[in-house]
Order: sequence, then C-alpha cells, then structure tokens
Amino acid sequence: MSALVHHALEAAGLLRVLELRDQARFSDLVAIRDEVEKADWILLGALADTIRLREVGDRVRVAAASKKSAHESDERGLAFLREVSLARIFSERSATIAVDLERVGIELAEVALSFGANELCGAMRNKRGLAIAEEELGGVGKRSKRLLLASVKKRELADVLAASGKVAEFVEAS
Amino acid sequence: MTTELGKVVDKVRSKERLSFDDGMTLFLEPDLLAIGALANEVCERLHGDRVYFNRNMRIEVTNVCVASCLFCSFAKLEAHSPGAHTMSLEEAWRELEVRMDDPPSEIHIVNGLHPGLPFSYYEALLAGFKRIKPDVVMKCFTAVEIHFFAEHYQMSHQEVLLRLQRAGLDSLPGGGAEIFHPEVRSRISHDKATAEQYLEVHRIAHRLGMRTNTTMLYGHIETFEHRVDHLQRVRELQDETHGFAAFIPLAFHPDGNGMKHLPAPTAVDDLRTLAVSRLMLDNVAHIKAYWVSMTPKIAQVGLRFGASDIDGTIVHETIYHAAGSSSPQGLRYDELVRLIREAARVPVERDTHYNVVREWLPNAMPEAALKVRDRKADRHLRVLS
Repeated sequence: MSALVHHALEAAGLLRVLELRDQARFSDLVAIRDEVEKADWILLGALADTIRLREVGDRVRVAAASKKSAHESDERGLAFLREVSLARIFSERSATIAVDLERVGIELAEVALSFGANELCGAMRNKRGLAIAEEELGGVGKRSKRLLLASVKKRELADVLAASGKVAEFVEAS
Repeated sequence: MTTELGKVVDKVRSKERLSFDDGMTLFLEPDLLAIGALANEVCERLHGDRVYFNRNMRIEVTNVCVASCLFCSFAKLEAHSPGAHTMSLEEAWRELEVRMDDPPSEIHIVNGLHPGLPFSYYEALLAGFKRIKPDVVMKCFTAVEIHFFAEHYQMSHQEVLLRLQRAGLDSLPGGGAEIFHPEVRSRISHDKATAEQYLEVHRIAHRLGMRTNTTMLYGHIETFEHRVDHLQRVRELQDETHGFAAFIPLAFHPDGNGMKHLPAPTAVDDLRTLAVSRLMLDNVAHIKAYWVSMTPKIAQVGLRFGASDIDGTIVHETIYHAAGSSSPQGLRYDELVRLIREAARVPVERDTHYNVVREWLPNAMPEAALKVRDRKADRHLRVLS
C-alpha cells in the first residue's frame, strides 16, 4: 500500500477494517458495514486490494473455458468494481472472489483484479478484436487449430495478468 | 509510496508543472489506484463532479487512402480495392437528413487521404451539411488530412483551412497525432504528415480562431518515454496557443492491420494512460475517455481516473470497428447519461466548444435511463469460499 493510499484510508477511517480482519472480528466488521459502504469507490478498491494482497497474494486462478461467447453484459464498470471491493472486504479471510470473464469482458475483469478479485472464471472472449497471433494458426487442421487457439488464448491471458503484476494459475473449471 | 511518487504528489498538490522524469515515475509506479486517485484529485479540482458529453455523429466519407500506416485497418489504398468506398455528396448529407428528428450538434468527419477527389468536394460537403442544419458544428478533417490537402492541391496549410472555414469548418478532430517521436512515427506512419506538420496545422487552426482536439495512439511499439515526450509536445503547443479543448488517448487495436502480431494495450494501461495524461497536461482542460476505443465500461471507470469527458453518441463509428473494437457503434443519449450518473458524476451535455447545452442535475434522469435500473446488482459476481 502506498503512503498516498494509506493516508487516504486513514483519513476515511477505513484502516479499522484491516485491524478487524487481522483480529478475525467479523461480527464487528459486519456491524460497521453501512459506514464502510459510504466510502468512495476508489478507497473501497484500495482497501480491498490491500486485503487481497495480504491474504491471497498476486496469484490469480483462471478457471476459464476457451469457448467464444457473443454475450455482452450491460453491467457498468464502476458499480461492478464496487461490488467486487465490498465482496473482498466483507468475505471471510482468504476468500476467493471470482469475476466472470464472459459476463464482464477481459478488460473489466482485469481491472477488477486491482479491486480485490483473485479468480477469473467463465469463457474467455477476445479482447479488442484479434487477441491471438493469426500466423500461429495458419496452415493447421480444424481440430489442431482449436487446441492451438486455446493455448494461445491462455498465453494471451497470462500476458494480460502479468502486465498488471499478477501471476496466472490455470485450473480446470469446476 | 516511492520517494519519487511522493515528490510528484507534492508537485501536483502545489500545482507545479511535472517534468519528463515525473511522467516516467507515474507510468512506472505499480500502485495504479494511487495514480488514479491523484489524477481524480486534479480532475475534481478543475471540473468538480461534472462530466461532459455531446450529441455527435461520425461519418467517414471515404476510406481510400494513399498513406500506409501500420496501425490502420480502415484504409484501402486504391479506389477500386475490395471494401473501398467513397460517398457521393448526397449520400453523405443523407446521413444527417435521416437524423433530423433527433439531430446531432456536431458532425465529426475523418477520412482516408483520397488522391482522386477535387478540393471542391470537401468544400461542398461542409456547405451541404450547413444548409441542412445551419447550427451544426463541423469538426472535420484531421491535421494529417489538412496537410495532405495542402500538398495535393498545392496550397498552404492556412489557405486550406481558410477555404474550408469559409465552407463551414468549425473545428479539427485530434486524429493523426499517433506518436510524435520520430523513432516511432517513422516506423508506423512514414508517409504522412510529420509531428511538426501535424502541430503546425493545429497552430494555424488555433490562430484562425478554431479550438481543436489532439490525441495519442498508444500501446503498440512505443515506450513510456515516447508517450511522455508526446504529452510534453502537446503541452508546449498548448502553452503557445491555448487552442486545444481536449486530449484523447487512443488505445491501439490490432485486428486486421500491419501490427496484428502485437497484443492490444490492457485496460490497466488504458486507465494509467488517462491518469498520467491528466497529470502531465496541466494546461489542457479536458481529458477524454473515448468509449469506442476503451469500451463503455472502462471509459466509465476512466471518469474516476482523470477523464472529464466521455465523447458522445457517435451513432456509427467504423475506424475502430475495422480494427476489432468490441464496443457498440453508437450509444444512446440516455445510455451516456446513465453511464456518467452511475460514476457518481453530473452529466453535462456540451457543444463542441464546451458550452453547456444541458446539465442533468442529481434528481433528473432521462426516462429511458430509469427503465434499465432494475437489473440485479450482483449477478456478475460469484463469491466462493
């Protein structure tokens, strides 16, 4: 946590949340929920990100199928990030906070990883058009192309997470 | 917080201009939310909780282009190439005529550099739109197009701008800036206006009384050093002319162009670039989160990372969509209001020159926006133990 963020959390009285979590006083935490929810969304994000870093670190579990989906959510960015932050802040220690790639898209999912989330689930969608190197897929059979596509997409996703300082850990979708 | 970031924070809070090194510190700082919060502070200092948008409409009258920019998926090099199109004047005007029941306040036209059209085509194009709607603001032709017109029709930049201004031109869009640094520009767009020529066109436009926008295409082969250099060049011209109304960071999209092997910039990069732009450009009033380039969701988040403008309704964008943008081609007026309102900002409809058309005060919402608020808040979030 940077000093800038620390001072902002302190000024907003939100450092208390960290103390309560460290002491496992969850009923006391729930008791101040209304007060916490009034905080600005970026402070909630900073708080949730601090908790995420302390409790689960920088590893991001990816439980994603490689199926392409045309579904587009109408969920707005800030409201969603606020929900993610609150989920992290009020969940039990080391909880998994998962966001659905298929619903929110890779862009917002990636940002959610800075607001307390630590797992990506659902089908991967292309980001900004061609997320994969076309030439890698040239001249291969249909079945092989599908397998190659899945592995290239995994690599793409790992690269996106690495760019945000996270480490991807691919697991089978449950 | 690093010592370097601490110094930047102090400078920002004392309204001191940031240096090249400060810009690099901001791009390299790992704490994204700290950078965002700082940019938000500056944005709120300038604009309070207001976020601007307009009723605009995009038209690309031709995609025939003599330039061979590596990042472009829109241009066709020859008029007879598959997919090449050039609208007749009547076809172009029709785009406005069919929308006169809910007309835009601004028409934004960006084209390829077509070698086969007479200059009179562009003059007639502008005049025709003004005939249909005299008060519509014509924000047309990038500085790259103006420079092409000057070379192709053998006029000075000033002559081109004056003739177009007489025909109805009000403002220039910011496209064509790409990355100013020659190390990058010579590799991605070697056969069009140089950085100096681009900036000179804007300098003259500002002298002629136009306010214009400017951009930066980021996330391809450039480095953070090139981005900071770009921002500094914008800032220098703005010190001289005060003619830029807004700065628009444009995310590179890789689909179907000469740099398709490169990954697109990530959303975190989008937000960081918005924030650094806000912090470096202390003399540019507005930083725009261009929703077509970064998706409406990330643009909304960008409103808390230093952006005070989210562009407009657009209606039918094709340049970014040719490069694989997954954003819709247009947003309805009420969707924009809702997007801004949900960021806890006050939506302000503006004209091209940032005159207020309508401010949506906290208790007011377009009826159509209210109807979509019944969605379940938590349907996209799973909490697993």
